[in-house]
Amino acid sequence: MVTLQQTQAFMNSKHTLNSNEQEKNTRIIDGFKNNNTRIIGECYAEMYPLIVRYITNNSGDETTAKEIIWECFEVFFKNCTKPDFVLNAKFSSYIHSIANNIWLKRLRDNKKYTYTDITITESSRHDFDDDTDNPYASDIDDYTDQITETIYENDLSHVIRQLLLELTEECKTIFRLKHEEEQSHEEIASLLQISIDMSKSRLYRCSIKMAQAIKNSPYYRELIDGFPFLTNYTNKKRKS
Amino acid sequence: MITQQDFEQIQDAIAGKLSADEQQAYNKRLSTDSNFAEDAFLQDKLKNILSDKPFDEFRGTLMRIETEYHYLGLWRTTETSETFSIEDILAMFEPVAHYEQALSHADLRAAGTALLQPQNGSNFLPNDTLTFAWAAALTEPLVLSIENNQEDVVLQDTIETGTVSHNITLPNLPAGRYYFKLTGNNSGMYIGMFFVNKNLLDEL
Repeated sequence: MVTLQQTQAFMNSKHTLNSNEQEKNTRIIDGFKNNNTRIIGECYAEMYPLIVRYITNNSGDETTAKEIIWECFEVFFKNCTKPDFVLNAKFSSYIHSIANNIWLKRLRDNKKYTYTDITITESSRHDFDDDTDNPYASDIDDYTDQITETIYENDLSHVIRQLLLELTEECKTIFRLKHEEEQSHEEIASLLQISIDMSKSRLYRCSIKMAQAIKNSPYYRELIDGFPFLTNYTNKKRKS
Repeated sequence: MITQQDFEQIQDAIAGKLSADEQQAYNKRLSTDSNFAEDAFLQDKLKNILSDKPFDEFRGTLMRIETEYHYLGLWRTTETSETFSIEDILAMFEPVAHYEQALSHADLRAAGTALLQPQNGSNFLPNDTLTFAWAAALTEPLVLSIENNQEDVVLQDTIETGTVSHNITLPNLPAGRYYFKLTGNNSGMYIGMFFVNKNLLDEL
């Protein structure tokens, strides 16, 4: 049973952005969706010093901070381009939450610390919430699952992208023609002067080779063990 | 390892080409055969990555911004001054064709004497002192006019007869390519060129 006080506390914890904050969020989301250099550049300049302070205050260095802000922006891009994405928190708070999750995950992945040893200092968190009129501006707990999922998805993408670089030219070509340029096997066969069956077989061989390389990657195994990718995938497919 | 037939079924499922019955059977296999589900998941992921052009473009933009921020010092003062992308910088330093042509006319001399300073292509910072120096005293007054590469006049001054050296303080000009014109009633016009903050261009 939820008490009235608990309900009240829950209601109080929900922050409504003022019109300036909403406008800023809309501008940023549109900027990311439309790949607007100026808006993304401004966001980078705003967030970089905060991320550096946050990471260096939590046993990281500036080089790591640089990697983390890159990942934060990738995660933000992926989330904000989802059709149902709504940002009811300040952009800086949202980025802070992504950075926090990525940093915790990195610490765990590096196995330098066990999960219980990890303590993130909260002092630098205030850097992200510069608007003292909005004490609940950093209330972004609603986004935790979404952020975690995208961080894992993004990590997996990095593993796959890295392995794609190691493919033979033959495989890179068939992937480019089939997946990037969305050509049919008939078109590929004509372009590469091979038979349609050969085009199909080449795509199959290269895809299997790629899948095997992914499965053999130790980091992929860690990701699969750490996040229910397959369960989520099959559930999603079943629903659709 | 999945067979080619399984692989093609996965490709068809990803492309939404299965019939309702086939889709149902496919979904059932996803739920019951974890190896097949993993292969389907990886093929789906691979296709998504390879066909995600907006994300690739975004990464390209982010890479450019990162370079501009860390190596060119751009984007840093967004609240107090303008920020510039590479395209902005190239535009600010773009030459004015007909002025550049005039620069090569070495026989042009203002007020009967050769201009020693500033040399064409010199680089200055905003608020620097720019010194004009001649080989001999001017025989007539000259009007000095400085223009940006949009041919907007940003500064004007008059230089008296008999002058050998004349200093002006540049205003707080944005980085870019600038031209100065020295005009006299009898001696025609001399055109020269200088840069402000050329390091921005050099580091591109």
